[in-house]
Amino acid sequence: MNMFEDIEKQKKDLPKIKSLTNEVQKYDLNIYQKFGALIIFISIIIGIILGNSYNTCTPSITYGSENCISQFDFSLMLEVWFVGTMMGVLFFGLGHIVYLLNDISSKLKK
Amino acid sequence: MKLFYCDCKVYDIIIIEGDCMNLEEKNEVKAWYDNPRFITNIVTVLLFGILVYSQSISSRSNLVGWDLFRNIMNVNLLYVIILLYFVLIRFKVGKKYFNYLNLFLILLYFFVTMTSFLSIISSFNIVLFLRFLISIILLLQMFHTFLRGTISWKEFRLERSPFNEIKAGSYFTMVFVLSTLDLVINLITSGEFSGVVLTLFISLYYIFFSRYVYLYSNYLDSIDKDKDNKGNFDEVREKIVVNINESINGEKIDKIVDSTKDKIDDFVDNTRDKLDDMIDNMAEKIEETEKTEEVSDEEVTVVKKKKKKKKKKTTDNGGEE
Repeated sequence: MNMFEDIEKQKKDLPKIKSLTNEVQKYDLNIYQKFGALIIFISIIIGIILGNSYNTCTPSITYGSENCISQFDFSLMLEVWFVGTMMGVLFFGLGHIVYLLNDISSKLKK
Repeated sequence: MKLFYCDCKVYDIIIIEGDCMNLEEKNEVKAWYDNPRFITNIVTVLLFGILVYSQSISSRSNLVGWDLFRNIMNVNLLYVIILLYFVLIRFKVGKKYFNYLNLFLILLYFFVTMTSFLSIISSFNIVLFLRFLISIILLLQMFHTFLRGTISWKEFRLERSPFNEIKAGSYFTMVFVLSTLDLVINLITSGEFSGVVLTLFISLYYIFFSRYVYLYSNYLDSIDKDKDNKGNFDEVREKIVVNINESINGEKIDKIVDSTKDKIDDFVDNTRDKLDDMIDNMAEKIEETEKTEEVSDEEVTVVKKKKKKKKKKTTDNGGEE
């Protein structure tokens, strides 16, 4: 059997954007969770900027290893992304704890 | 609709029987460059070779620890991710989430294109410029191929994209030409044998990866054709005509015509005989019925005569008294 026919029988289609947005809109994010999402977004942009600004000098495979070509620094970008994602997840988790505590307090008041 | 390639004999006017081979089975015997499984195997081997060879070059530059890891990430990150992609699509997980993997690949190549553009700005180099062009063309080819079989194609109406009019073959040709040019430039400017080998691997990777995307595009075209049944019927009809003409020579046609003529003559003679028999039977029956009618007429006259005689006797007897 053709490889693509085999894949066609088993593959799952992508979700609609509308269904995704509807699911996301169901959740009300508090200020901590929004701040966490903002940190992740900013870290992505800063990673790209820093990767280009502090570009690495990779050994040239054509002119010999003594010469180098300045290229985009993926490792620096990934480091910034990793740190930003960790901080964003931390604030997001903090926001979720706050949400749960608010939920408990409202149930106790009833 | 099943396609048949027949070495046929005509047994009857209506029915065609013979040793028929399914055309679909015949079409599976493809050239190696049209076999997607073979192409994916080649790409996997090339990516593995790139990773191993580039690391051997890096290890010679006396990098240690974190610097070595950073060097691996900078040079080989793209190849590692794509190797992971081709390994995953061999398993159920990869096949199930094939569209998601393709979307991730498109995003990755979008990012690579963007970073290569930034690299050109920082240090212009003809090789970097060629790789930037190749990454743009691959991105467009993947975007207009991998999203075609998904719901996002209809949702965002991507068939209206101006790059959709470019055929898949044109994309492959462009990548082939650019990667060949890249290889030639690197061969001319290269100062080390290791550089030559690595650029050869990278150029072959671009070509075969583009070929993989091209084959998927062809597969999607074939599915669309079977669904609408457009453009396929003429090809099928031509194939059937060609196959029948090749299998049946002139002599065979005469034999077939003669045999059918004999059959028709036999059929006609048989029916004629049957009709004659039926007519004869009918004539005999008619004669028999006519004879029975004559006998019945004679009996009627005899009865009438007897009645008359009886009447005469009664009148004579009545008169004498």
